[in-house]
Amino acid sequence: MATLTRITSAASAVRVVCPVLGHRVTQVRYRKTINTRSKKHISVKKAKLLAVTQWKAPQDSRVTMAEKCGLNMERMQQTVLQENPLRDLMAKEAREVLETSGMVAVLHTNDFSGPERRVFCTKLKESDITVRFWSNTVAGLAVQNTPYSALTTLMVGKNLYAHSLQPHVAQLMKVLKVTPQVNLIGGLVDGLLMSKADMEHYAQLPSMEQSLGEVVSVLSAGVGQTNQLLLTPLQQLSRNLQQISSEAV
Amino acid sequence: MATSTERFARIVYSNWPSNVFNPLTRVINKRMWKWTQGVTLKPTAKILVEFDPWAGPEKTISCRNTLRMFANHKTRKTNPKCEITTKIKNDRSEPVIDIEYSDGERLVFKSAHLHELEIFEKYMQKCAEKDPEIKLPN
Repeated sequence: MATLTRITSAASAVRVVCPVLGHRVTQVRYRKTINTRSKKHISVKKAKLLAVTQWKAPQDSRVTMAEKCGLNMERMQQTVLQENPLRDLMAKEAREVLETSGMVAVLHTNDFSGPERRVFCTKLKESDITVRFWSNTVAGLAVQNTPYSALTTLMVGKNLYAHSLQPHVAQLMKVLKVTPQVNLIGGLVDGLLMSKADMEHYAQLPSMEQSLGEVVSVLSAGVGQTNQLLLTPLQQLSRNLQQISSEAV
Repeated sequence: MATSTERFARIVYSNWPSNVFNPLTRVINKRMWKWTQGVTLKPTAKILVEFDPWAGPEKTISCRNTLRMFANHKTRKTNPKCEITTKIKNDRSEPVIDIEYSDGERLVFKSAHLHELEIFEKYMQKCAEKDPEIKLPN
């Protein structure tokens, strides 16, 4: 081990003399003192070399060939599910929205941020449609173990979710026509899973009151016709009798 | 070429939603980020993306991610005249990306079993052939 032997000189340099080799090996230090307190970090190269020399246990090969071939796939398909209370809370909220809303539309977005997004959300808010930005993880957890678990096929990439208490599909379609960055890919309307074409067809349907009025008019049309057929001969008879009585007078 | 890590991530999606947390999404995004920095639409005239979202997540993920990357505002700035249209079908058909270049040549990707990195790689190779100024990212 090298010991520090202070050898004064004109340059105030310090000569380090090795006690074993003596005067044959000397080093000249031009700095104040040697750092003997804080540990010097190992360089990356040295650390890599040391890591290579570490002993690695041999692989446990006490498995059958079939298990060996299938084991890799199982390991690849295993994933780590970390606990995340915020994610669980958001999933719970999403599930409540799913159960209480009359319409939940899944929208595919391209590049949609900033003022465009705000304008889009504001336009939908005028029709009582709220836009939510749930991740696929949160939405998937919300839909798990529900009759609507088929919605997971849509949960790929970046999605928006537009929901409302009443199914305002026509209003949603109007806003989407003006927003090319967002595409409707499907949704849940009145408890039914629908594709884009189904939702477009739903938007063209008349309102409930209008439909009820049409049904009532169709039902009453038959009754009215029967009533007219029965009354026409009686009316004709009464007219003829009046005519005869007026002629007799 | 998509590496084994990207293909591994594809397998993860097939068991959705049990495997909710995919630890390799960062790897995919980091590599894709390098490609999206250099993606240009200069030699292209039209891009038509057709997919059925109900066909399954494994088939549509590449198509949707490719569409997102092409429709990125930075990518669109390279050629504002390029038309990007999306057609959402309902017939369980496989997704198709139809690219038409300015010189009339067409490049059609049936992206059901392709990774988006493979699509970008092929697309950029074609672009580099047409325009020598375009450099391929490493």
